[in-house]
Amino acid sequence: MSKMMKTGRVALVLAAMAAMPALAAPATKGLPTPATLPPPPAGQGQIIFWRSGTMVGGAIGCGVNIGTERISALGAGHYFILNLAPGAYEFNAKSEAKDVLNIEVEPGEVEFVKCTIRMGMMVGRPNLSPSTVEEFGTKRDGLKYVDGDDVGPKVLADPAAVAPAS
Amino acid sequence: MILAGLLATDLATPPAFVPAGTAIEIRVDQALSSQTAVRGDRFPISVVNPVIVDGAVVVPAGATGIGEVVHAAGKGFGGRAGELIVAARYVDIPGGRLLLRGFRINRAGANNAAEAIGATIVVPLAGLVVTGSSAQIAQGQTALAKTQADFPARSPSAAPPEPIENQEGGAR
Repeated sequence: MSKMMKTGRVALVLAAMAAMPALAAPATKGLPTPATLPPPPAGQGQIIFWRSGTMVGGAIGCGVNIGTERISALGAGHYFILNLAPGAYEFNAKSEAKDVLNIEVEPGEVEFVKCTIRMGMMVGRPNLSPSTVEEFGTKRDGLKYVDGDDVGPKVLADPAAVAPAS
Repeated sequence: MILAGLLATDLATPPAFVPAGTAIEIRVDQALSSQTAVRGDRFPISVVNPVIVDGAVVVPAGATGIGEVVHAAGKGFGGRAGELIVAARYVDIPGGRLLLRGFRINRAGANNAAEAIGATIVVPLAGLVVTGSSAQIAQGQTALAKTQADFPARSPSAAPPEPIENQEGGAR
């Protein structure tokens, strides 16, 4: 086996290991998800981005961007809320490859987007995909809001910190 | 005299009105797949149940319109699932074009990322050829949409207006 093949095999195994579930997958920081999340402000729509804590790729971050603007980053078992003016938006998450998700924001409507990590050549690849309120509902009790340093200027502050869960 | 009589009738009968936010059940009339759909593709839709306002049918069942693919991504290696988001744009009704919003059928196929990683641990590179499944929307799938704005509409169930005659008896 050539040195290049050995190196490649080691890199693949390391990439696979990095994408394995984190041992302590559920987030340990932050407050529980409130029973009721704040609706979008009048005239705006809302997107809730979430990432399961028990899925593959727990050790890899999922940065969420609009173009080159970083919106936030989802660790395993986290979520965040983004209120936006109505219109079409192109979100992306990238590592060694770029994944794009197109979403239309409509006034008063709430959309759901989940991030998963799939296998790549060298590192895991974040993948943004459409989700539903039902799917989010099955995971929400195990989710925490993103850490303060991942709350960008467009991201809503942790609703649990404003109104503790009932 | 005849004209005045018709005007009086029109004033006494409020126009059929579709208020903004009225829910309409919409059917997708063409099967869609994330493997073949492209963002911007348009497809036929139709109204499932009539919308009745003040006893008049203002949006008949079967009224046809157009939906649009908002997002499409095919399945891929590494366990990637196909993705599909579609929206209903409008239906044509006797009163004109009824713009729609709030219609979402979001589909993501099965994500096989875990299987891909498991395969790689056993056999290097094997996981890269593991794919997810495509997202599919079956023909006949239904979901609710909402009207975008208040919309005055004539009732298709009402008789067409009589031609207004002038005193010479000719049609105007």
